Amino acid sequence: MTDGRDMTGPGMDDREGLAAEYVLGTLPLADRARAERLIASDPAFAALVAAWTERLAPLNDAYAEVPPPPGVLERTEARLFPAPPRRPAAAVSPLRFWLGLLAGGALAAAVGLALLPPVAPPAAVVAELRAENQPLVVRARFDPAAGRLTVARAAGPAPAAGRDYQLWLIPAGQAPQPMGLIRDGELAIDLAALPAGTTLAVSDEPLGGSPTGQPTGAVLVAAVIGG
Amino acid sequence: MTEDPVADLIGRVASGDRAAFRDLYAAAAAKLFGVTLRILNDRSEAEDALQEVMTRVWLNARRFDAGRARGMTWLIAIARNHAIDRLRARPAPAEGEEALAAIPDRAPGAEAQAVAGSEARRIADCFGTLEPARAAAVRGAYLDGLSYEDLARRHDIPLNTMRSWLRRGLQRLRECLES
Repeated sequence: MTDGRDMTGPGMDDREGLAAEYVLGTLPLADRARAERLIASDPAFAALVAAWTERLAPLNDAYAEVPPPPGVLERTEARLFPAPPRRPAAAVSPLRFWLGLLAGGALAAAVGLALLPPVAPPAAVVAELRAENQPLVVRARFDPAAGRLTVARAAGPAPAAGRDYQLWLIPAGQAPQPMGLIRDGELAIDLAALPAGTTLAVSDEPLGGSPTGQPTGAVLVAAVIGG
Repeated sequence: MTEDPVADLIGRVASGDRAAFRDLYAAAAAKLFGVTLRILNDRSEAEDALQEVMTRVWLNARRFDAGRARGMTWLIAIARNHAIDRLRARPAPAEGEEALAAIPDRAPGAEAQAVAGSEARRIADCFGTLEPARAAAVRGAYLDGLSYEDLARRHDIPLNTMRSWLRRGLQRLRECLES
């Protein structure tokens, strides 16, 4: 293990060493997590990791193919694509849902000119937070009479280990306000009003929520409250 | 269309094509299960890991860049990273002896025979320029997910010595591959 060549040539700096060791897989968990954070935040480091991945990729030929037991694909699909609920309203695509809300709002406004104000209490506002290619679906319901917003995960995977889904309320033209973490069960928030034009959004954050008070991770799903 | 059918499938998965997701599973699952099984050495955990890997593939397919990596290389990187994270998260064994016994020793050269193709031959040639013990340590780390602790114990040298010894091996590999 000692030979003269060890001491020659330019050494790898620590960043390159960390990238190589991350790809090699020898690091303890805490260092792996540090490397993963760098990959996400530092494109130059991510490029070092990509280069080492390519360099060592020929070793992959040594992995034998082993047919997995049946059922893995089906379980993965069940997790990613939960069957839609039976209520027909849920089958409406998000776009049509929002177009419907807008059209309904316009109609109500037009009709409102001709009719007396309604005597019934204002109806609850229900929104589904979705995004294209995103299995996560979050359902929000605002009850104006109770002054209560309830939010829950309706579909999609739980957050990754060490991560949390955080709800944000973004009044039109203002900064996002953190509203709490969406874990198992329902998140209930006291809220006086949820005006049209307000955006509800869910981002992927470190466990316990964003340390900065503003979204730091990817915004996964969002919806704008209609009129 | 590229000459990389797996990359094409990942591209279709990125646009939300569930049929392509099934085709991708059919094309890649045996290789990915081979990866998780070899690293985790436990069928039930390897199965859970494969499910998690395929979930990540669906969620992250848009990040795949066919211009920069082959499809299978990208998939195997996800599988290796997840399996190694699981391995590192396992509680440390009470006795080092048990951990050593659980690591199957593989004959050096078995991997070398399995590699084919010009890229693979090239890295095999570069491995040939390393002293055999160092080449075996790099291969064992990459293929079996051995940690610095495992390797230091196996070679009976201090952990930091193992680390700098292996880093020099990696550096020499890089120089050889780039020459």
